[in-house]
Amino acid sequence: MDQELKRPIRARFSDDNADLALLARVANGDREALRDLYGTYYHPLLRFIYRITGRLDLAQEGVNDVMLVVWRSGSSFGRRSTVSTWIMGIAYRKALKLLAASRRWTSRLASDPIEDLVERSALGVEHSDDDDLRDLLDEALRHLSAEHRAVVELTYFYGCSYEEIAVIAACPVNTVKTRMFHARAKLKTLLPALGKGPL
Amino acid sequence: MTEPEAFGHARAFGLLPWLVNGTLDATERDAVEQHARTCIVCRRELKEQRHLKAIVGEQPTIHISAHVGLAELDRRLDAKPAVSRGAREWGGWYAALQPFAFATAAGIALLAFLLWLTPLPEIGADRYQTLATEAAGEAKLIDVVFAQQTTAAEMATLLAEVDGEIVAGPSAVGRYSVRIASGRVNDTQLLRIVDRLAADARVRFVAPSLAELPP
Repeated sequence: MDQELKRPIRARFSDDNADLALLARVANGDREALRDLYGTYYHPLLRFIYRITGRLDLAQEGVNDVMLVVWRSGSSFGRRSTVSTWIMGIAYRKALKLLAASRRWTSRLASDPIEDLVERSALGVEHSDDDDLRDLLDEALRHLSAEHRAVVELTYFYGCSYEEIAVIAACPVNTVKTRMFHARAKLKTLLPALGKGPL
Repeated sequence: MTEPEAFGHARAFGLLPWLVNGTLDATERDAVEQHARTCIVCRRELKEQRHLKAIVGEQPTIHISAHVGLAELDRRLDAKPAVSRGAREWGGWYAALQPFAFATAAGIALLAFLLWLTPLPEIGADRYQTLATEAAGEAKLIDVVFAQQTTAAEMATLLAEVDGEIVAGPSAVGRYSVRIASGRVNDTQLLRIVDRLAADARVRFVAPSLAELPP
């Protein structure tokens, strides 16, 4: 999907000029530049793919799959988005594929029943702090679809605009907004404690 | 200064997550803020969104050193040249074996003839599948670890029997990525191939790979 960005990405882990310079070297077969790019993106990609797949082994494998694509396709980067958006888009597709493959060949551990989560969240309101809420949120996110989890993560953690998310997920911006709408509605149901926090 | 465009509730409500993460452009931001000033539902939601952003943002990052992953990536990148070196070594073997080529070819032809004469086990109608009865799949990857004493020739023979070709490996633990190349197999066929290889004493481990096929 060739969607131009209105604004540059504000991802907190990279600087687009530096990324562009590294990617140009990668496109010329510079392994040292690939290592530098790897160092910049390793943890953001690991977290992102882990958030989508829920498995650390898949996340580690996914990071290398993504960087292999960057190595092989660096020269085809068309500057229609920032480098980080491009790389996160590759990661998004890889993560969904890894998740689909893992579901095909293995039986995934079922997460806790939704009722338990809602009950624990509601009970925890009076004496819960943000640590408890973080744990509950982790669990609640597992009850969202991978696509919805990705939108939540890209918005709140990576600070992406809805246009950037549309590029990453290769979908229209209205789809991003709809996914976020449904994700918010489900999180509200799963985590009543969320609406009663500080601020 | 111009007045911001008035947003309806649904539109403003939908944009609150991006107001909170600071990525709305100035026009949208002003319009959403103006709406939220007079809408109790959006004000409450805004508070909840800020809380959610804070919680997600504070979730700990996974602390794993990138070095191990980088070493693995280096191995994968070096896998192709390694295969080429292997191919060159094989080339030398082929040259040495050339005088025996005719005898080898005759042997293979005889073996193929005998196999052709061997009656096939009867397959029940319920197990009989054609590309017409089940959609053809795509080329697939499997991971294979061979027993230590397995020679390169035995590996090649085994893989040839299942239309497999090594596309990467061996890894540090001796794992090869094998593409079931020409078959364009579906999942059922892939599992049969895995079972077939698993039954061979020269194969220590075999399983469908989770890695994606290289282009």
